Amino acid sequence: MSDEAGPSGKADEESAEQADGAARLSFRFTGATAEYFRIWIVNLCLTLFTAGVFSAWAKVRKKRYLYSHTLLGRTPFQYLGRPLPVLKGRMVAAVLGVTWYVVTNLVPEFSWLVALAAFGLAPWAIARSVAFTARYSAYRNLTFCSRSTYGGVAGTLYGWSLVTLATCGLAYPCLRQRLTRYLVSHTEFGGVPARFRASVGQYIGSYFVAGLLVGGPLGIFVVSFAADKHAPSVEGLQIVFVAVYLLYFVAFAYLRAKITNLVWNGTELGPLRFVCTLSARSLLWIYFTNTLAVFASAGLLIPWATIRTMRYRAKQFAVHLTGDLREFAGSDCSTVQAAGAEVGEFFDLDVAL
Amino acid sequence: MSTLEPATLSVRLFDGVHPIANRARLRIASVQAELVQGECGTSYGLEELSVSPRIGLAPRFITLPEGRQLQCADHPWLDRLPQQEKTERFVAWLEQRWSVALGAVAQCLRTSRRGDRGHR
Repeated sequence: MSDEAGPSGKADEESAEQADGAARLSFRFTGATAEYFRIWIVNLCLTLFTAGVFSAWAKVRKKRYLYSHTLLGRTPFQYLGRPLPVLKGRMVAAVLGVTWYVVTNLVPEFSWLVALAAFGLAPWAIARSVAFTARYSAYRNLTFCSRSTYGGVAGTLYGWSLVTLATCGLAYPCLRQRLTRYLVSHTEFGGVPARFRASVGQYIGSYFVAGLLVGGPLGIFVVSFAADKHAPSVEGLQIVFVAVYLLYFVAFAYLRAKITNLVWNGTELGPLRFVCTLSARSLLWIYFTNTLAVFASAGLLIPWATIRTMRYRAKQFAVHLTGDLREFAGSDCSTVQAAGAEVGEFFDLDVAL
Repeated sequence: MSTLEPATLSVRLFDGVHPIANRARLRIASVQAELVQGECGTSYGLEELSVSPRIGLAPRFITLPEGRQLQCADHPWLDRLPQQEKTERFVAWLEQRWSVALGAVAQCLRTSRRGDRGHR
């Protein structure tokens, strides 16, 4: 028998490099733009032909492609989601969406009821969305598993939302850190729960810099307009408007890079340590050029944008193996229905781990 | 359906207990497949195996009846084995063809232009 893991089960000898006594496994993304373009356009067309029904199959096929071309060592990830549960989840999401639309537009006096329902539903959507993604993501014939519960998410979300409201939004980084800590530490692979070590202070630092990126120049604009005795011209306001959008874009890329690095570098899974080195500048360049390309091509360059973003992210990501892979052993997680994930997506409720 | 010559696939075996890869070979013939790992061989009826859907040129996975899994490169034999998602076979066939993709581009552009006219 040829055991690629070696007698100690440390790592695939052909794909691991030694670094500080730990084996370093690199991520690689092997997807090709031309191949993904064909998958994307064929599935888009079938979705249009079937008035959206095929979108569940399209989602599953695209995810499967992206997962199966993401390799850790020499092994690809697997997306195990199936189209029919996703379709059912989408139908539930559509019913909720129509209810929201009808109530808020036809009987606005009952809008508070919808808001109350959405408020109650949010923890459920987050917990189920994370559980679904975990359960249907597999690596080497083992699935991930989330043990997040409605009560756990609700306690963290509602408690820290109240604190955020009371502090006029200043405690928002704490809310993000606590929610991520709860979700990560309730995720398992092979029966081993993950640990989350990123601190509130690190979150506050990232959000503070992002706030300065937007608030600093904006403050200068406001002060200069206030100092000007004349009323601001339309052109001047347009420039401010565009500048605010650009600043928001910069802050978004900055936060995406910093928080992703924080989350992964602060996560441990048994003998695995993650190293994520996304650069805010590179991510900003990728997002900016992707946006331009997608607009200029009427959307046809979406697959190109997806593949290049995935390639960059995989390149900046690695795993250090400090122990034995045999620490991971089977998982008893049960099947999770897709509705939570679909509701989350429909209402743009992305917890962005 | 044309007959295929028996084939031997080089596979990586995952036992579903630990995330460790083991090299093995899978010999497939008309009614049976034999998984060979070192000196040991285990036979399976072809109907007992189940294959993950084809998606581009990505590796495919064969699930064995006891829950173990094999990773291998795509091969014509894999289309003869029971599929995990029967409905996706035709879509995978469409996705492999540039002519279909270009037709889909034309159709999507036509639909979006019609949508634009409708809005005006």
